[in-house]
Amino acid sequence: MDEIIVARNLTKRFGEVVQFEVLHGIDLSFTRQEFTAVIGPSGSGKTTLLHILSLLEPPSSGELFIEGIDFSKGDINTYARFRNQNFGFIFQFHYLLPEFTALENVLLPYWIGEGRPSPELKERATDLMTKLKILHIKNKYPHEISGGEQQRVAIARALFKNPKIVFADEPTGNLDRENGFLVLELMTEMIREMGVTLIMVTHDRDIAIRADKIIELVDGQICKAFRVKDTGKEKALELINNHSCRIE
Amino acid sequence: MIVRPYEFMIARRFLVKGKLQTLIILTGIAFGVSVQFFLLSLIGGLQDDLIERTVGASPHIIVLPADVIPVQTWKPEKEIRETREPAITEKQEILSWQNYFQYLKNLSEIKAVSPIVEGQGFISKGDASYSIIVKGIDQAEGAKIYNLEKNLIFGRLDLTGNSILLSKTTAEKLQLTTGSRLFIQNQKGNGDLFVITGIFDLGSAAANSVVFTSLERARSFFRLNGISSIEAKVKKIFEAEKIATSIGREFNRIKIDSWQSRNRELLTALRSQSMSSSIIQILVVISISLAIAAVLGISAIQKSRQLGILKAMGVDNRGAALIFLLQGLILGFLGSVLGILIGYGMAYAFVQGRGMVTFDLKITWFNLISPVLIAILASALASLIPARRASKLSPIEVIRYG
Repeated sequence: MDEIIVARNLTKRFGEVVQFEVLHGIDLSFTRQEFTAVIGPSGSGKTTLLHILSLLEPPSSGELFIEGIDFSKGDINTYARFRNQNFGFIFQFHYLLPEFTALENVLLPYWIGEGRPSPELKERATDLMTKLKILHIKNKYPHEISGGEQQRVAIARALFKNPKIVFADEPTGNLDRENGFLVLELMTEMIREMGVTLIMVTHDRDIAIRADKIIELVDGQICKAFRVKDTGKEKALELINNHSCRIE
Repeated sequence: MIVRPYEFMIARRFLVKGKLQTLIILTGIAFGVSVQFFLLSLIGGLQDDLIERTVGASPHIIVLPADVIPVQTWKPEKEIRETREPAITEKQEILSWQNYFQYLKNLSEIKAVSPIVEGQGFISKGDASYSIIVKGIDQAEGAKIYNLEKNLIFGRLDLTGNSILLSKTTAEKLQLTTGSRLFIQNQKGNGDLFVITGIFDLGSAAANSVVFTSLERARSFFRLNGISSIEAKVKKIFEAEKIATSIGREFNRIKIDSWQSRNRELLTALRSQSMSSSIIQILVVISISLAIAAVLGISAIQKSRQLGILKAMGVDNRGAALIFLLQGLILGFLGSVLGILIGYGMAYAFVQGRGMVTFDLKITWFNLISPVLIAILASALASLIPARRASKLSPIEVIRYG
């Protein structure tokens, strides 16, 4: 299988005087074009893991390869361009820039990486916004639109440059359940269609079950990791609902 | 340093969307620049006017005979204690003056040079007798030194034969006019009859006690073989002292005086005036820089969240810093353009509406450009603090803690 991210023995410690370890030697890999859900109770280290994998934070030790490139060490500042060219980010909060309209927000990663977008690119962005059903608010500022719309603009921004990997951290955490599912369905569908690798942190098991692969993190260690198609949906549901770390 | 399009685009957008902050900073810079521009123009104009009044119609460099200290002819019985009394000097004439005159005439920095014969004289009219200075000059060169063309109010500039030029004050006092004849005596009591061909006004009382005549006429009047002094005007007024010193190095039997050495008090006053205006300018620059640093600093804190997400999306530390540095530069530039407009308006209103003011503002490229450059530089420096903060911000801090 084609592995886009390979991590070996990743650890993460915080604090200088009193240190505490959040991740204790994690080994995992992510397959290209797969949707992986990372689940686990709060404080299990899943968000920290996502930050390390998305090159926003360096690991304390261990190895990290993305697209065959070694990112185990070094300053995250130097990875800015790599993030721009390869990653899309969707966070729990939309993090749209209030100074820019919805369309301008979608185009921001392009501005940063390539410069002023051409009219054709703007058209592509509006196409994307049409698919996400937010075309009508393209010239509105973030504070003028609803939470669901804000999050869909954030999704359009993450997908606009055809990233190789989209990192999502509780992307619907700020939305009500119904709206959340709607946004999520739209997002996963588009990501699959585009052939983008999706790594999503969630504590919602109903969302996780839609993934290709589920990784459960408990206390900074991998508790379970399995593919839904290997276990079957029913067995998968059963697995994520019990807290034993054994897969029988 | 190459500025990438997004850095400028985001900087501009932050400024446009932060209207109140932008307005506060712009107003601060504009007022600072206008005050500086106005102050420079005002003080410059005032100083030029003062210098012009003081030395505009007078020589810049004077070559005089060296002071002669009379020789002691008697020996005191006891040793005299050293005294601090000034040496007794005696005015002498310069006999072989052609040397010095030619030397000065050949200097490229000199605008006009004339040999001078001068001495005390008395005008008698009826019972009255007035003390005046009779000054013999080379007509063409002397006219340049004393701006006689400009300062002549009646008659014509003619010094041939027994012609003299009289000042307005003396003419009024003695009720004389052009064409009048008058009798002038020298210190030894010998007198001649002269004809007034022109009346001038040199502005100050001291300058107006002079009567101009030709060099030859003055020489015969005072029965002199040589001349009293050589007077010269330089092209660049503030270089007079330097030129005088260099002439002094060439010759040792004469004394060289410059207008600066004869007007120390004026120069000291001008210098302290310039100094106080510089201090005001420095304080203005410092207070504006602090205001920019404070307002942009607050803006950098307010925009932490935006910066965090921008960094996650691929803005590097340099880019984040440049977004704030550019804001400072844009503000500095726009603010100073605005400031120059306001300053120019102030200057215009001042010149138009002046009551007791009799001088013009000095508007030069230096006065225009230096406040602008200072403002842009100060804004850039002030924005370094928020820029540094933006550069150091870690994206994760914002994303993790919101």
